[in-house]
Amino acid sequence: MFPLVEVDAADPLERGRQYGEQAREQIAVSIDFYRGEFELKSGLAWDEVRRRAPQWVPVIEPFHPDALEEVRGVADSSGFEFEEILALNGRGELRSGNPFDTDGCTSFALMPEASGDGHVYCGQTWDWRVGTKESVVMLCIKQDPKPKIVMQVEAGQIGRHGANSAGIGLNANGLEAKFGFGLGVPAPYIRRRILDSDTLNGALHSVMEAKQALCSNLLFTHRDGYCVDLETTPERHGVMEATDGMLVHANAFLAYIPPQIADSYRPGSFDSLFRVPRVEGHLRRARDAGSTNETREVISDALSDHFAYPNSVCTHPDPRDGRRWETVAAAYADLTSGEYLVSPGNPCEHGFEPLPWNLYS
Amino acid sequence: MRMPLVEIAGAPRERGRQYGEQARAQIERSVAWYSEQFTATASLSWDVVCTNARRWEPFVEAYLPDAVEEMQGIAEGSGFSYEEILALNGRGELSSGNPFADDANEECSSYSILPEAAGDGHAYCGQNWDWRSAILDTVVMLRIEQPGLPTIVMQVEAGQVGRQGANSAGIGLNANGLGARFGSALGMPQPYIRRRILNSWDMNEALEAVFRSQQALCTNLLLSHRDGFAIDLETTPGRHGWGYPANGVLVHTNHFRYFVPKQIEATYRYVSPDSIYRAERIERVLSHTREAETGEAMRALIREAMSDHFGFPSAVCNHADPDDPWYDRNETVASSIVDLTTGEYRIAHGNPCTNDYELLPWNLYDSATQPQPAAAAAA
Repeated sequence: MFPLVEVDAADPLERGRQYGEQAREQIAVSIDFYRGEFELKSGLAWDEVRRRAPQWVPVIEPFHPDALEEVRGVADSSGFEFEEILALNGRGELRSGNPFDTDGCTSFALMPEASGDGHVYCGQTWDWRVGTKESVVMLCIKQDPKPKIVMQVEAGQIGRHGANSAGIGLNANGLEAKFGFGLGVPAPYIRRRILDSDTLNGALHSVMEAKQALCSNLLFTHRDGYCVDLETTPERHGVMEATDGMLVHANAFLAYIPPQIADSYRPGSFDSLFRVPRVEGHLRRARDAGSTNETREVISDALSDHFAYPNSVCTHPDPRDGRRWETVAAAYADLTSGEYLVSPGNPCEHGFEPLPWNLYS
Repeated sequence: MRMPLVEIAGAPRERGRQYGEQARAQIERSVAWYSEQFTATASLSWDVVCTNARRWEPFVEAYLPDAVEEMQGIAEGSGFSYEEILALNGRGELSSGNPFADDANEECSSYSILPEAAGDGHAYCGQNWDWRSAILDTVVMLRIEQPGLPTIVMQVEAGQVGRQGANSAGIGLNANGLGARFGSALGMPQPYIRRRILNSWDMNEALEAVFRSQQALCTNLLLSHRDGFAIDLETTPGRHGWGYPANGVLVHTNHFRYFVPKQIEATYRYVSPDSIYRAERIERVLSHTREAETGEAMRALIREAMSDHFGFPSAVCNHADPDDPWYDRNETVASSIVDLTTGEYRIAHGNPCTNDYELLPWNLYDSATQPQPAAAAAA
């Protein structure tokens, strides 16, 4: 299992300090990785990244001031600079040089009528670069009076994907298209504000207010049996609803094509075109599951799918073209029971284990 | 077997030579037909065509380098020039910007049936290939065994390096013209894109071939996989649209069904209006595939669908219309049924209403070439 990091404080600076202290080792791994990665993808040396990172502060400040405080706290106690932790929280934006190289993830939501055991589920694989796995931690944030959050992050990041005690699940997938303005709110702050929400309305507001620079797919699931997918861009957001109690998404625009790219859009992550129907094909069987165990087996099968291996739902590095990608983690939440299950790497090898944290206790 | 069988193996140049030698007579007919047709419809002499054909070489060199050598081999083996073979592989694109251009006249009807929808639980794909009546005798069945790559079985006009077929990795490819044309750049001719698809070990590679190509024409590509997956791609020089089987069956003909490209949004009209009812007619018959419990019953049903004469002569089973000018007279030149589960490939040479589907002597999976390590590890 990934290292478990638990923070508990009403004060954001204090939360950040607790986080930084517990995850110091993984933050060091992450900085080491991205130092090379940013230089490779954007031509920015680490010193240059540190020099420019503060430009984000005035953009983030009005959107999520607490999160910025948390970033300060992480820096304080981990021994790294504020600018360096800012950079880790802007890694998507900092390595946007290559349009064919975004997070490849496959997300799903299952509604009570389609899950077999009547529970609400949401989850995803998280496909990322080999070398980032050692930096992943499971984070439990208690931040009274705001909702408790359970999520997986690369150490130092204050938001990614997970679920909260208000019964809201968030899953996310990169959408590689790029257009619109330059400096925007990086994805971790938007995702964190979503998971800080008590209500789905609040969560959706965060997305509508955000001025972002990248396109990103966000799947919202609520324990009361609702889900909706937003294909977010710097401008218009597309909307997709569940079909037959199920919603699956990956890394291509499915709900609409933004007019800015409508004449030429081709998904760089064309494997999304089979990952989505493959996962749908598996999850369609959940309806016939007679127990929670059986439902979970179906979910595990779906996220372990090897069609078109190694560029499959469960992704492995490809020795043929040197593609250094793998499913670094897979996770899903049972939003009905509050359990959060994680596979610390390829689900075909690891299987899913429940975390010791229940969302609702 | 009525259709000539051409079987080649080895390195690109060597297998090209074998191809050229075995298909010399058909290549000769093809060159004769296209040289006459280009003159009649586009005022392009064969000399001009061959001079221009060289302009494709850098594209092919970058995208599918083996094809250049293979075509040089075909030229050597057949006695025709390399430029002439390049021209045969660019026959759709060559006509760009002139009346003959409309590739929509390549009026094909394609289908894919997933195991869940087939009464015998197999995965099927195939199509009617409707093209100029005159090319009927230029068509050959080609089996290619190539080092390090899947073995391919496909129907082609002799001299072409790619068209429609299936491979030993369980991937089937069917194709239909989409008529529309926009953008003026010289692009990758279809045969190379289709060949790269059929050179693929898995669906990711096949999609990569489609999404990383710079093409000039709009074409529909239906990709099927024996593991029960199919996707249809409406490809254009810009964006590609895509769709999936509904209830386990996918049918596509010659019009945009999933989107209308922005470039032609304001003016798009179906170039082949019969395309509208052909798709619907086939879907109607194939909606009964669950009831066909044996391979024989499945094939009978598919034959019924592909022999449909509604709207005759512009029917699914397409017959020449005597009112059309000689150079623009089409009919179903071949119809295929590929069982991706068993590897059996059947072809009717000519209209399936009167010609039986004959089983090829080649099973798709009878291949000496094994997958590379990455693909093998999944098995």
